[in-house]
Amino acid sequence: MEYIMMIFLIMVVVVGLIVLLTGYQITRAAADRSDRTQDRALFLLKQVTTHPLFVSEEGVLDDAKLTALATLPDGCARLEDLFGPDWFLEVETLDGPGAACAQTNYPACGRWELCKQDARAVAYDLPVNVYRNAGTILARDVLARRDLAILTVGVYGR
Amino acid sequence: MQSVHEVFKLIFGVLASILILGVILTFVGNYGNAQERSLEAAALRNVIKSAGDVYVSGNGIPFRGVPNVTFLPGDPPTFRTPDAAVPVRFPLFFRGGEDLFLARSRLDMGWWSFSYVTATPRLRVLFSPVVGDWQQVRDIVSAFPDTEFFDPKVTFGVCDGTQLREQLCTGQACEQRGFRDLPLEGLFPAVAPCTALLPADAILITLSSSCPQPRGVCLTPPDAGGIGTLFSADRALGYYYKDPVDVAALAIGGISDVTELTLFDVKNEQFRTELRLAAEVLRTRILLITPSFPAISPCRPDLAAFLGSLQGLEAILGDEAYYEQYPSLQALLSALGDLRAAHESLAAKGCDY
Repeated sequence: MEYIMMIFLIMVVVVGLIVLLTGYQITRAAADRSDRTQDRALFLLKQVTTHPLFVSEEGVLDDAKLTALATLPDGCARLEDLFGPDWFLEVETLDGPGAACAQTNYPACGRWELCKQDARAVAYDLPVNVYRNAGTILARDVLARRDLAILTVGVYGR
Repeated sequence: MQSVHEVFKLIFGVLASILILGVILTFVGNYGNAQERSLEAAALRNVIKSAGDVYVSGNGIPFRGVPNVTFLPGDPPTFRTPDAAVPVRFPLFFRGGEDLFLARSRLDMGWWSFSYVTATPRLRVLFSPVVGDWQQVRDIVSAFPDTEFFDPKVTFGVCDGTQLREQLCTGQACEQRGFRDLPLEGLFPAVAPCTALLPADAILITLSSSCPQPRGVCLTPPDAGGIGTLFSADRALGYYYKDPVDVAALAIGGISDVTELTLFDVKNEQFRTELRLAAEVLRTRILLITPSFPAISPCRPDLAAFLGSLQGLEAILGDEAYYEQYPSLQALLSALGDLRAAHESLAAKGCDY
């Protein structure tokens, strides 16, 4: 009888250790997944501030390009072909008109949204400059100004 | 003499020990395998993450301890280990090896630039320009990474008949800049077809008027339209090439073991996807900014020309198989040339950045 009890207790300890290690692995896998989501969000943030689809020069977003992307009929799907699914971008100028930019109100606008959904996301904010086309001098030379804005790039999912 | 009860306890104890040991050993074995695969998967993700950092920053880095991965061309291209599959969402020219150098290169078209990352082990790129177009050789060299101050190295040399001529830069193997700066026309007035035995880390690139049985990669000189033919030892059919990056993609990537696709196919598909979206975005951009120029502005004609060329480019790139058709490539190169000229004119006049 005592031998059976002893074997039972040993098995309980062994199974307990197995459950503990498995639980640790599951927790670590979830943490890794969360890290990967954050890494992807950070990578997308860096891409948006350097890729010529969005910028006039590195670190300076182009308002006309953002407006074009935001108003393309399948803009989000096309961006997902390039940069992957389940991410979004938002730019909002700190001064000036806060209306969402469309082709009808450009350049009197100051907000752009791409692939926005109502879902949980991991996002990063970054202050950026936005190149604004403000007309011309002598009918030729472009008069440009730079507005300060907040860029938010996020990845959906935990 | 032991009683039956004693014998039973003995046998039961042995069986129970075997069971417990079996459970422990099985779990330890599985856990150990899982940990090893998990480390491999983590290493793969680190490689891709590092390549992504190189893509956005432009700063090359070496990377050591790369796991054994399978590259699957597709949409998107994927790198696999037994336990992980990591998609790559930027152009990455990958050649396997334990130690790699990650670097970013660019194909500059004036109005746009197509960036890509190369991940290369120690490579010896040997040219055999039987048809001696050394400028084309220099252009192809520019499409490979510059490994100066880094390891592993990508070096360049010439295969002349049975001889490998590599120590061309003050007695040492040449890297990108050193090889481009050499007076190659004077050093090699004529080059015999390469018949030398090639080392395992060598890539042979032959320039010839015909490529019947290519070793490595063989290309014919581009015609008046800028298009040539590219052959690989691994595949019977050739490809049309239009820029040096096409040559580098095929030379570095080869042909996938799993699919019939090559890095050449992946590069051209990514090129199409990016350029098509760029053309549409820039076209809309031009439409948005044009009203800010008065009707008499000297910028208007150039803006209209730029717009027209962008529309043409969009139409050409609407065909997925554009890079396999000579007329499409001809039209593409013509449109890219027009766009470069229109953009340079706009910039020179101060009409755009």
